[in-house]
Amino acid sequence: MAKTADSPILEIENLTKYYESGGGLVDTLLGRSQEVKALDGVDLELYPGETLGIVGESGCGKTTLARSLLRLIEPTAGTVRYEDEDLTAASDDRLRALRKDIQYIFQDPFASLNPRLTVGDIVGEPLDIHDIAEGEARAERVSDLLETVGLNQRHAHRYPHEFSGGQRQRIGIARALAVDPEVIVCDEPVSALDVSVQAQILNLLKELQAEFGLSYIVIAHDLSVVEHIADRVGVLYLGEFAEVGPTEDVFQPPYHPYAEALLSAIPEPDPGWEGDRIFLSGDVPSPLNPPSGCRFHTRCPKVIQPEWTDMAQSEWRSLMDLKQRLRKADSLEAVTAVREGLEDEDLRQLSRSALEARVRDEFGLPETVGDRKAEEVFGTALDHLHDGAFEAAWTALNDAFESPCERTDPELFDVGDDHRIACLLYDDAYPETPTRTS
Amino acid sequence: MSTDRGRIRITGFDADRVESREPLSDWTETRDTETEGRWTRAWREFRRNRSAMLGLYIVIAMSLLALFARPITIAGVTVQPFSLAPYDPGAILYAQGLDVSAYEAPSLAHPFGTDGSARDVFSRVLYGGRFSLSIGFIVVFVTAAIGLVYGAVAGYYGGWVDEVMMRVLDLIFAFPGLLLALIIVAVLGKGYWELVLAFTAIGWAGYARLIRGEILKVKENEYVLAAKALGARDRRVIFRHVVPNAIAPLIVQASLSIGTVVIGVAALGFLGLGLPPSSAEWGTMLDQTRQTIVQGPGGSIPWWVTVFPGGAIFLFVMSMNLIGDGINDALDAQEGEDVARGGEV
Repeated sequence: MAKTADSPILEIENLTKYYESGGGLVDTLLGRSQEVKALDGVDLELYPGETLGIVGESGCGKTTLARSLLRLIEPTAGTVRYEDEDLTAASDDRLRALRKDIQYIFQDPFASLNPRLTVGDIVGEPLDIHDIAEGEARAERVSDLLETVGLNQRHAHRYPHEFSGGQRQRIGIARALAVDPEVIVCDEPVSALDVSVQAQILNLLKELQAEFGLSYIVIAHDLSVVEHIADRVGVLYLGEFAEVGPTEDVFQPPYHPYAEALLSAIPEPDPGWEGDRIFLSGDVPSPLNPPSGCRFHTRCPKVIQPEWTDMAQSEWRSLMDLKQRLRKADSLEAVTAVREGLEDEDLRQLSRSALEARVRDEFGLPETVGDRKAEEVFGTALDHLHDGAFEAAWTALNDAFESPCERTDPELFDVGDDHRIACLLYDDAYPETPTRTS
Repeated sequence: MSTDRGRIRITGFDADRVESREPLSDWTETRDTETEGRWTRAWREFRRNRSAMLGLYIVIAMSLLALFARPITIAGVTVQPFSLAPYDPGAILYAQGLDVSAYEAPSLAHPFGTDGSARDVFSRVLYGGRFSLSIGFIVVFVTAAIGLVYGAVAGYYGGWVDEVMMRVLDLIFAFPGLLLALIIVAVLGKGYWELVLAFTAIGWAGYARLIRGEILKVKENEYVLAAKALGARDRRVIFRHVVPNAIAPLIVQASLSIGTVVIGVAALGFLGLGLPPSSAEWGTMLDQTRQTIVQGPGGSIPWWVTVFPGGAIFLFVMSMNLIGDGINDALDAQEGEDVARGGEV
């Protein structure tokens, strides 16, 4: 189902969730606690009858988004409007009533069903809570629900441990359907299931959508799942959207560099395929202290060069990597390649030229960098490194090599009909940079 | 070689194929049997445990003996007419004109002999079970209930609530338990309900701490969050989802500590702070006759006045411990079986 012209059923604005970290009482008193920025100002709309997929790697805030929009965890800031009613301002009683309209399906069907209750009681619980049905009517509704999700009504007297993962997920879906919801948030609904069962569950979700006119927010880390089920996709990186748009647009150029890397990682069964798998350098930065500017600039293969430089994009990326590594480095091991059999050698004894070779080796830099001025800066940094002055080396690199991506946090720029990308490459203020050469 | 995707199509991404494929096992709907509940399974496991069953039989026998020792009359109506004990436990037999002296050795007429006031020890031991056993069961039931609610609230809400509630517990733990009971009895005076109160006051803290720890673990489960997402109130979440999954250690602890309470009651009785001196409670009986352990009247030691009440305490406490261990094994084994059954399906 494509997006309709209706007003959104669910509208999320600037949703933010910071977790306190290291939060003992003493730490709090001493002001030592830090904030983990799990979700940082996310906006999205969900239209009636549509499926919105949200993808991203582990720790990027997917589950936090799903739970805080239902106020299963209290968001730090932002509003969630359901049919023009602000959930974040609703009283506890009102919120409980609203839970009839917005339901949640959990990732792990082994953990999300109470092992001490029978399936009938699990599926019937929402009926008890909201006084929907009692006695005979309740039993009837429970067996209806079980049949709707493809289970036998005789299963009502069994316990969850007697079912397989796929069947348990069906029980979870039946429980969510019991209150006749409008919106269902599915947090990785199939990632705990094996592939053949994943398809069954996804198809079941689609059938139920058609039957009951549901709207879904589907969280996943598997792009093929999202491609299969979603009408629109949002790509989340470190608590912010990198790209939002209709599924077919997101899966085609123009890409956000992060989305492009994710898409290149989809496995291809063709042995004769030699696609261009994009490897991202480094790890996901800590949300305790997210990078300045564009949060992806520390790993982005297309990170923008300053105007004065003129070198291959891969060399520029390597220099950025060196700079980031030096920022935290306190020994030469951190920035040099390890030679086989020489793991114990004392790197401080190396000559300057040997050290240079090692550093170039580690970061894949050629004999000379394509840009003369950049090569000079690199030389200065190496001189400092050879003297053991890590801070000076970093300062030298940092002063010279500063990408606009580090300074400016990109907005979501419109690149097509309802397709928005948060990347400076799509900002008219920045000239087209040389494309990646490798 | 090609850089285009999708030259090979995977067609298995189609639920119909999976549903219509050959069955993986010969399991069918018709072969399934009725599900066995959690407690049924635990009971079956418990029954297999011989020493626990022995303990259970002994406790049941002692309870019945205590119950039927003397007739029970409520508001003038006799509700229990049987009288297994041959004499009134408080009756001084020679004062009733019987030919009985103090410290008479066990004989057919008095199987456990008589004590220093010429009372029938057999009748007193039988009847004394009423005090020890009932205090044990009442105290444990009340303390476990208080501890359960207290610990559940502290563990579930956490934060400041937990912090304050746990410091109160620490206060109680800071006193040596029996000493606190002793003080309470000393302040309130001797008596049955005073004893119950004294043991309740010190007993619930252990359960509260135990159940709080369990609940901290259980409340992290996703089904608790699922219940909240359904709109359940805290009360429902705690008592329907959290507590039933956290209660097993509490039941084990409770069954084991019935014995401890009975020992404690006996200890207070022995220290002279239990029930009134003439009452037939086992510990008090020991206290009344303790000087005879060192030196009896006329040089001989009347062993029967200490061995029989002491033996009754020993037998009951040991049986309760056997039962407690049996419950522990039964509930544990059931968890183990759960896992195996989950993998089977």
